Amino acid sequence: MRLIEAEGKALLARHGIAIPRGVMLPEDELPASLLARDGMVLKAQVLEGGRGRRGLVRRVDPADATEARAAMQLILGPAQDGVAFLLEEAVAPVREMFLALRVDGTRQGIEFLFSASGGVAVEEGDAPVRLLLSPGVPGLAEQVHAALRCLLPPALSARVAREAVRLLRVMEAEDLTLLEINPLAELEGGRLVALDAKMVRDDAAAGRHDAAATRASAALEDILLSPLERAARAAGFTLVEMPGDVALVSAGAGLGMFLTDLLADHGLSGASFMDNAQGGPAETTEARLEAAFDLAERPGVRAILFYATLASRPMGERIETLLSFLARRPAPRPLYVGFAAAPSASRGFDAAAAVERLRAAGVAMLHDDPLTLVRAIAAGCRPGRS
Amino acid sequence: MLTFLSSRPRRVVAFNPTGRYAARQVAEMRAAGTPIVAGIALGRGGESLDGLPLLDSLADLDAPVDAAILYTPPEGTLDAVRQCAAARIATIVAAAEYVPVHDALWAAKAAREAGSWLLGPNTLGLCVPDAGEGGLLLGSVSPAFCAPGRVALLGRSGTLTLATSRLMTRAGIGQRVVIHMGGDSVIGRNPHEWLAALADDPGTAAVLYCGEIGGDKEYALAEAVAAFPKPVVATIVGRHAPVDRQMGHAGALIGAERESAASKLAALREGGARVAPTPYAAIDILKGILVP
Repeated sequence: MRLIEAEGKALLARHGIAIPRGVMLPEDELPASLLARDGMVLKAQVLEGGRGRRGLVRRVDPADATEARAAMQLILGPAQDGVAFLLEEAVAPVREMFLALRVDGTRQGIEFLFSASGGVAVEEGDAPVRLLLSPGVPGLAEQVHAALRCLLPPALSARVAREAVRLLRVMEAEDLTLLEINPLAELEGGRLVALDAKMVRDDAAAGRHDAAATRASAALEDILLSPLERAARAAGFTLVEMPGDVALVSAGAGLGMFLTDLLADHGLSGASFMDNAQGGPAETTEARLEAAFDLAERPGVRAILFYATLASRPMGERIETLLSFLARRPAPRPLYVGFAAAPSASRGFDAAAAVERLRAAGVAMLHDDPLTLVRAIAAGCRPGRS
Repeated sequence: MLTFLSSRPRRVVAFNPTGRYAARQVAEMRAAGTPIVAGIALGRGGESLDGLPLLDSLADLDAPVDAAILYTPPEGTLDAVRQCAAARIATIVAAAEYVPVHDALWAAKAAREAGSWLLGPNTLGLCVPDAGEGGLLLGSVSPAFCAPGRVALLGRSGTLTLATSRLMTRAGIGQRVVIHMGGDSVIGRNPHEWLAALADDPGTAAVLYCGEIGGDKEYALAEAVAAFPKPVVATIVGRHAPVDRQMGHAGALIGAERESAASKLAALREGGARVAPTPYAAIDILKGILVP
């Protein structure tokens, strides 16, 4: 889950990382201490980058905050009505830097990235310094300092190095896969402050953390889902809707992508991708069929493909689920079905009888080879065929 | 060289074997001849599962084991891997999906430092088809989908690994070993490490790699292909996946062009692999390579 800036900064503050003082609008009253300040910055709390260029980050006087927020809401449009706004004290950095930490799955460590020119300048500046850090290894600050001392004065390099190690600990404690501070500001006197924060939390670790602390981020992620994708999540599986002409019901990420590729190679396109979801029930076949049939009722969708690989799960159960579903809801488009079942999955199962029953239930084709099924769908969808 | 290829495990232990899914897999493994000597199930010590003795702890084993299969839930996987690494178990298979990434980093480190080979997290395990010297099933890669042969299949996705092994078998291409390395962004060993470990295996004549979009593991693999003394065929699924949408697996997301199937296939081709758009096309290439 991507975290909005305000929730990311609150997380940093809980770990003692300095951030500008601020409040969320519209719920909070502006504290008198902020009203007395010379300048404030209003920031729309959206997940996309490039907010400054879009006019979603503005320097304002406290009295003008409401008007500026209305202007930003116009830019965002009605689809993002629920977006929150962060009003912060403006700070005057003497230097803006870029610092990021990300999980490097291949090198199995945390990659540290740093540029002495932060803010919007980071995109135009030199490539950032990159360093692989191994959590738990002694001397991490010394490693970072050694990498930065050619870019920064020694005292600042040391401060940034210590900050990087603090942030690495935050990253682990908060199960972040990305923690980016841009800009990391050096203020007069040498204090470091995180002026912006971009973070991604590992969904697999969501249960370890207080959901209330990232409620606004979750709500924004939710807005990005279609109603059908939201319904799928509630039913315990993942659905990705795509602008396609074949509603695809499958289980397993690789198999789903393989089938999507095969469809595209035959002039078709998948309208859906499905996979299991964390914490979902063991059996979601019926809910997946429901979603696929909903998609298949839309104009432009011409067929449904149901394919599963069963290494040990009983095939009989899956077929009975399919048959009982079809008895309740006949397929709105030609339905092609395939199972790759190991003997242990089809043990005690009468395949011949199942074929007859599926045909009687309206299944256009039953075959265990994905390519054969896709070719049949392509033939059935050629112009002139209904 | 992979120890389970040079010498089949003689004693295997299963962690958390009593759940519905795990019990079914343990039964399949035992039926396939996997020498599972005990199940580790805290609080069930002294009981048995279909004749398999259950122990409270790995420490209760009367003799060392050389492989472990973990059906431990995600939150316990790191601890279980650490126990296995501390016991110097050579091959560790961590089945659980949704293991937190930072846990997986520590688990991979623990296994690596102990000299163990960790499959997963998020793996169906591996199968060595029986070519007359005894096969091996550690996990859920159905032996019925496999046939003995000379191609080592390395897969990132469980269902795709199963589907591809089955298609290979149907096409008459047998496998030396079928390995589901794990579908997460952090797995015990990366594809290039598996490749290097197969270099000296006399039973492996070629490698088929089935990858997917997201992450950058294929770039390290592409570099390793050049030094690999046998043909490598590679395919990547997700050529038509939308950008910026997570396609199931954590990390199966095209966040940058470099993570797309097209870029990965280009890198692998540049590295010397024979690349194919689909597993079907990859099998056709293998047929040409393996002509006697």
